[in-house]
Parts: sequence; C-alpha cells; structure tokens
Amino acid sequence: MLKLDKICVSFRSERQDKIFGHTKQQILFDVSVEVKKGTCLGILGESGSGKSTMGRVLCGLLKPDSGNVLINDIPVYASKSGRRELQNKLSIVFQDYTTSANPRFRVRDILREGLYVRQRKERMRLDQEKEINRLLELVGLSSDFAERFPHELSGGQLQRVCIARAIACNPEIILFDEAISSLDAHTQVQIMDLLLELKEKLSLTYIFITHDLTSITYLCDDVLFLYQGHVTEHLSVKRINETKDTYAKKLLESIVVFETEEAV
Amino acid sequence: MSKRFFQNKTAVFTTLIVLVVALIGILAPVIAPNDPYETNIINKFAGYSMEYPLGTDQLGRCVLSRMIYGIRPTLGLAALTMVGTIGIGAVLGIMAGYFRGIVEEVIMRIVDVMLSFPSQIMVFAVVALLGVSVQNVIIANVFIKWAWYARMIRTGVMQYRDKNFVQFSCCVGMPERFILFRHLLPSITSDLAVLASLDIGWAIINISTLSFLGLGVQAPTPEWGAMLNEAKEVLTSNPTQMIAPGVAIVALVCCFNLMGDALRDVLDPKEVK
Ligand SMILES: Nc1ncnc2c1ncn2[C@@H]1O[C@H](COP(=O)(O)OP(=O)(O)O)[C@@H](O)[C@H]1O
Ligand SMILES: [Mg+2]
Repeated sequence: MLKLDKICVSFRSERQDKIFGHTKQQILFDVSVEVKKGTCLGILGESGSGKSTMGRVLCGLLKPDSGNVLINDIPVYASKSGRRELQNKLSIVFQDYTTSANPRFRVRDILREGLYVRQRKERMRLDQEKEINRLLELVGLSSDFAERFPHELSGGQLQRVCIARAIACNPEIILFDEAISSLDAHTQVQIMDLLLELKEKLSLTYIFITHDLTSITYLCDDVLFLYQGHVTEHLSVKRINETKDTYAKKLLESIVVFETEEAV
Repeated sequence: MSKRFFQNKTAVFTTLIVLVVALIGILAPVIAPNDPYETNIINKFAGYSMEYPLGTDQLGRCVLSRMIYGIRPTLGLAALTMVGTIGIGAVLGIMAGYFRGIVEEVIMRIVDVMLSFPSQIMVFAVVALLGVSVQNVIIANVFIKWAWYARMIRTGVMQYRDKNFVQFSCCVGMPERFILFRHLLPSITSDLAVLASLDIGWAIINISTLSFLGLGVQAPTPEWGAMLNEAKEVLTSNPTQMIAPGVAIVALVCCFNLMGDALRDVLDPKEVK
C-alpha cells in the first residue's frame, strides 16, 4: 500500500569548497521498496546509514530530490491531497521519547492530539474521556496516568503513551523509528509483545526501523538492509540466513557470537 | 501551573508588588493627598509632614502625589514599550523561524543590522530625528529592542520545530495554528516571560534616563526619571528630594528582575520542588 520508487535524498554538506558553494552530500541512493498491507517491514542498518532520513521521506516530512512516494497509488509529494491521504493513514513513534511528547502537556492532552486527528478524519465526535481510558488500557497503563506529565513517567511508560498517541489517530500504518532502542532489554520485549498484540487487534501495518537484528526477527515479516544509503538486500525474515550481502552477514555473525557468549 | 506559581514565594511577592503599584497608579486621583501640579512657592522644600508625607519640591508641589501620578507614565510607558517590542519581535521571529527560506534571510539580515548599533546611541538618534516627545521615546525603544526579541523567538521556534512532538503533529497533519499556538508559543513563552520581565526593568530605566536627560517625558508631567532630574537641579539646597524617586525606580526595577527569575522557575515544567 505504501511504495517508495527510486528515492534519492541529499543534504547540503557542511564543508563547502567555495564560499557560496552548493556541494551536496547524497544520503539515499535509488531506494525502492513496497510495504504490503498487514505486514511488518523492518529497515535495518547501522547508525548514519540513512534510516531516519528514509523514515522522514516515508512519513511525508522530507521531500526527496527525485523519485516517488505512493500511497495506494496516489503520489504523496505531488499534491496536497496526496499529503493529506498519507497524513490520514500513517502515524509515527520516535526513538527519543524525552522529546516525543510536549513537556507542557499532560498524558490526557497528548492523547487528545491523536484523537483530534481521528475526529477530523472520520468526521464525528468522540467521547474523549472514554477514548483516553480505552487507549491507556490498550497499551497496558491504568487510567490514572492520564493526569500525569511526561517527566513523571518512566521511559517504558512514556513510550507506551507515545504508542497510544500513534494509535489514537486510528492509522493503517505506523512507522517506528528506533522506537524501542533506547529502552532496557526487558522493557523492549514487553513493548514488542504489545506491538504484536496491537497489530493483530487493529490489523495494522508496521514499518520498523532499527539497528538491532534480534527485534527484527521477533517482529517483522520482511527485512530491508540499508548500507550507506543503498538497499543491499530485501528479503523475508524466514530466509534471512540465505543473505548474500556482506554487511548483513556480518550482522548475523555478530548475533551468533553474542548468543554463544551468553550461553557460556 | 497556577499551583506552582502560588508555591513560589518570590513570584507571588513580586507580582503582588507590581500589581499594587499599578493599582495605586490607576487610582492616583483617589489616593494622592494633593494635586501634583499645584505649586506653592512659599512652601518649597518642606520636610516630611502629615499634609506632605514626602515633603515638597522646589516649586512646593507634593512629592508623594507626584510619585503616585508618576507611576502612570513610568510603568505604563514601560509596559507599552514591551508590548510593542514583543509584538513586533514575535511576529517577525515566528515568521523567520517557521517559514525559513527567503523570508528568514531578509528578516535576519535586518535584525543583524539593527543589532550592530549600540542601543543607547540609537535611541538618541531616533529621538533627535523625530523630536523630543514621549511618543518618540517609545518608538525609539521599540525600534532598537525588537531585533533582540525577533532573534530569540526565531531561535526558540527553530529549536522546538525540530522536536519530535512537533514532528509528530506535522506528520499526522495537525493544523498549523495548533502547532503554533499549542506547541511552539507555550514552549517559548517561558523564555519570553523571563526576558520580558527583565527587560521591562530595562525599559523603566531607559525611559527614566531619557526623562532625566530631558529627552523623554516633559515637565511638568510627573515621571520618576524627570523628578530625579528636577531633584538634581536642587541637589545642594534639598538633597532629600531625590531619595523618593531614586529609591522607587531602583525598587521597581529590582522587583521586575526578581520576578523574571522566579517566573523562569515557575514556567519550567521540569523544575523539581
Ligand atoms: N538535516 C540534515 N542535514 C544534513 N545532513 C543530515 C540531516 N539529517 C541527516 N543527515 C545526515 O544523513 C546521514 C544519515 O542520517 P540518519 O538518517 O539520521 O541516520 P540513521 O540511520 O542513524 O537514522 C547522516 O550522515 C547525517 O549526518
Ligand atoms: Mg536514526
């Protein structure tokens, strides 16, 4: 349903040879991918490989230099209506939960923002109190969290609130940009279980950006390896051992080593 | 928010003082014991008494009454200056920070030019150009000060625009006015409130300075700086005459500075008690 077609992105680089130079540094090279409805796509790559940049292109915040982003065959960046279509369908959860929520908002207000989007989209009024309680319950928090401020929550709790906010918009696709990477291992597993459960319940499509292979194998159906802005491999998780890509192999090996060490 | 405000003693205390002073200024005709303009040459330089609680000046006018009436121009003009400054600064700063591109370039280059002039000289230049009057003093003050605010607000807007919660709002297509009025403005308000309450002290001093130099509020209008100027003329014969306006200016400016500090604590959501 969401499709990237030969996306190239470049930024103006910091170091310029001439005073008014426009030397550009290309970050993404001909990235093409298709996300099918009801699946989970994992995007794997090391730090600085352009994952977040790709995420920003996917969610309509960064216009690529060339290439098309299509949602249900409507080009996103070509017109306002395409943009709106994507905004109605896609929601996002960020890595850095400390800046994901406005520190001046209570949890209640944070969720209201998502509900507002849903009300506008579905053109109907919602019982906000009831919805907020339902959402909190959905992500496994009790309803008295509604009155708290973000800094009064732990990392895992706040990330749950962010997930609840993403779901409040009633999206079809959710993009996770390293959404669990900054949490501790135990909380990571809890959140991933929660995500799997929500995916079933609400029949969502996930795009899951991470640098951690284990969480991909736990959560995703397809995996896309990104190395210095190039897509080096795109295959299903079940066949991940058959990868021919050197970087992907290296990652796999490091996992194996990691596991054997743990076994000792 | 209001709960934290009332828990902060400095904030409550200074705000209360400012409010009381403002109220006295507004109710001046009721409170003042005498007419501030009524001269009585025979009774000049009178000491403290029941009829003239702070004595009389070189023309035999009641100093206390003049102080009370003087609140109006002193505080009122300072407030007007700040409203003008913040208004212009906010509009241009938000435009520069939010829309970027050519709009930002043009606004910021003008700001750079404005900031490269020494402010006091600019005030004199503007007043000299437009003529000596209260109106022109305010125009001059706003003229030199807006650039600071435009720059600060632009920085704030840019800083918060890249925060994830704003990115989320953009991503799910919240209306621009929600992003602007619920996310960006409240976020920069705390910085703004602190700066504004510090700068209102600056404005009071600046207006008083100009009045002291004879470029601002003109005699016989009672204004604290102008009163200090008059007291200066009779420094040798009646030195006590400068105590009241001098102390009042210092106290009020102090009050605003303390309020600025206290407001920063109150408005910072993460401030632990
Ligand atoms: N706004 C920007 N301006 C210039 N360079 C950027 C910008 N955003 C990201 N980059 C560069 O793009 C590259 C990829 O960044 P990013 O997509 O954030 O990587 P990651 O895979 O770690 O999320 C980095 O080298 C970074 O320096
Ligand atoms: Mg990243």
